Amino acid sequence: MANVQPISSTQHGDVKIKDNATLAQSKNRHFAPVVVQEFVPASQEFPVIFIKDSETGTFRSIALLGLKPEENLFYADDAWQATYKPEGLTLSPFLLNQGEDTSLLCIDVDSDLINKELGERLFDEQGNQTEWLKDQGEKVVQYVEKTYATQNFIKLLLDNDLISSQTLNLKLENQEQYTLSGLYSIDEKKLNALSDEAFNALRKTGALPAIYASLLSMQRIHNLARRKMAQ
Amino acid sequence: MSKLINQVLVVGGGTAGWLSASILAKQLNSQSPNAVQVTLVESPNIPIVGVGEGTWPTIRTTLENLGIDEGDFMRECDATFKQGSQFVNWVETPTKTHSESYYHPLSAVFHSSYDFNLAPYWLLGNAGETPYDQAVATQCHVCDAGLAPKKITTRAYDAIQNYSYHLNANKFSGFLAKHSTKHLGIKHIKANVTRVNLDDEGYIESVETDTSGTLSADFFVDCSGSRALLINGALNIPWLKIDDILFNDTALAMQVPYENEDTPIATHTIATAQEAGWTWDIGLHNRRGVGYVYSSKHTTDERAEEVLREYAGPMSKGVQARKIPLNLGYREKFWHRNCVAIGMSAAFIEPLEASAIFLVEAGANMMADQFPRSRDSLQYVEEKYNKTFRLRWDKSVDFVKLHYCITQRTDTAYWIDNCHPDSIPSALKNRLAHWKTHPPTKYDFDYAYEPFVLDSYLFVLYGMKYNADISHNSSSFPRNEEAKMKFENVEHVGKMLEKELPSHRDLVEKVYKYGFSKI
Repeated sequence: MANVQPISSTQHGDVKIKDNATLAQSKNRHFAPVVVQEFVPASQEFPVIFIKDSETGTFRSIALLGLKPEENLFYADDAWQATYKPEGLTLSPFLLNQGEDTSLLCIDVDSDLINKELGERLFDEQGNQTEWLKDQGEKVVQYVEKTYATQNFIKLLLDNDLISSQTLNLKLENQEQYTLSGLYSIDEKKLNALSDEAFNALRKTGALPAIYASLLSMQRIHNLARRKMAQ
Repeated sequence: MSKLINQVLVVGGGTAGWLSASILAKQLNSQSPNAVQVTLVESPNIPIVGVGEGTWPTIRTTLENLGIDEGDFMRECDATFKQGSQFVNWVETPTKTHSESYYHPLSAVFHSSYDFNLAPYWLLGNAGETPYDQAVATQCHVCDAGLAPKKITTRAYDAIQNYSYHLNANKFSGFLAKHSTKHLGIKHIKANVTRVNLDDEGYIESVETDTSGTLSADFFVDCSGSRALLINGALNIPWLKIDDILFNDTALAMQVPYENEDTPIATHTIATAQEAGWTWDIGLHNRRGVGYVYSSKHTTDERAEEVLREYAGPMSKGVQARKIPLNLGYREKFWHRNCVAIGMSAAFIEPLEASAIFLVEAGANMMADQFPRSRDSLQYVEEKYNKTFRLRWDKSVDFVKLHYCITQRTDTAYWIDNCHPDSIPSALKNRLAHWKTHPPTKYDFDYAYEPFVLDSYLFVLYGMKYNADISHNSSSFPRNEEAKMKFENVEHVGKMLEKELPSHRDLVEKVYKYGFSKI
């Protein structure tokens, strides 16, 4: 579990945050959260699909990074192995702790990115927030807003009955077999069967590009298989 | 063609009334303008008895078919998951230091006794000293550990371990009323039925009410509970008592709060044998429903309350116990002319195997499926329905009696009387005689709508230690190795499930908060 603390100059006055070029925290994760606004770019490299949150059972959109739990085929010690970086991963170690009235910018103090020597400072000598920190805070807030839009997008899919459970069976050239269950994807048949009225309504919400991006991204499973073979 | 049946009136608004009306309206598509119209009239001031808070797994299909969201249903009815029953002290008289129990679980994963009956292999010692229930069913381990039958990510109404619900019956009626008037096209009238009118041929024509005038219909469903306003009040169909077989005639019920908000919730009904009956213990979300079903010939009300309070523990202090007279038996006919009785107006067996709501579902399903649309087609369905349900009730009585009549308890007259041969129905007696030397097989249960089948009988027989001696016939069972592997697999899967499944309370709290997804 993340050890989350609100950021303060008294506690974190001398803290520095290392550059996170490899998205190190995703090393043992076989998926990364993605928001609806990044479906199109993310779909160029990863299957962009849906899973159920193990704590709440509610749907989340993700980019699939590996063929089995704890496997990230895009992680390497020197650099992230894809052109696109899922935005949620780039925000580490920052996150927003949302209360009823106010929200607090926090950091995960267990993150390896936190140190006292390398990287960007959070506060200057006078204890004022650095421009860099303000910038990060802004990004986190914007990202959280995107997650709300994503929840609405998923609700739209569910209301239109467009998501189906999917088991991915994959056989690599070396005959290794992988079965990934617990995945959910856009149901092409149901999408095609929508009435003109319902389809037009979807078009007006602007959801179509993300829907088709997700649909086409299923082919990126071969990208994962290729990376697996190259290992 | 004779007179068409276009209007149905359901009399009574308990679980039986609302379930029957909902199932009928759904099946007949009552929302469409040309369909059969279903109206339910219920008394605004007669309290609902709230029969049984236990259900069978069939209820999941019923609720899903009615278009009910599982999370909404559970939240609004204080419902929890039920995975079976645990029978405590039924085999032998307990002592201060010794008490035994066995399970009748709702699923028997990897033990599909129809394909490969493990019972003979268990009898021949292939599972060592492990009791039958633990040897063949992972669910017993899940119940012992207080775990839920599924996860929050499991699809609504899907199961990892088979389950039904414990629920607040009063809230369930209210929930169904709300759902079915809104989504299924049922018309709801609150009034007291004061008189039932018959036509010249002896069919029910209408009922008169105190505040809503005369309600006419072509077909009537009597869900008025033990008052049986139509089937008995108007049609004079007599009640056949079964008190020579099952002796319990009184229940004392209490609602006992939990010690605190995170007290674990049992995921099975705990049925504990007592000196003159048995106590039930059912964990809902916010309280335990606890009660004592007993024979007034074998104890006094005062003594019964003492027994109940001792069982219920310190949290029952100051909680009132409600006395409910039970009249076990069934109607000579359930369906007569244009009236069918469903629920307690039709029959009542004590709640030991929680069959009350199940038999309401079964009755309503058959009525809806075979629904006669004209008067001259009534006779055919009436005969079939009566035959089927007479058999179902007889079989249910047999199965409930089985729990009593093979006990080794002799500590009170109650248990001794229960084993008296004259109190055992002859069909059951014949089976028991055969099962002394042969384990039951699927051919013992060849009737399509048998309410209790092979697995249930095996759990109770061998839970009660009514073990067949088949040592002389061991050569007929040569698949020892295969059986041993299956027993090992049950143990292995049981351990896996213990790691995988959340605690029962944990999942209930989550369902109330997040619900289950439909996909």
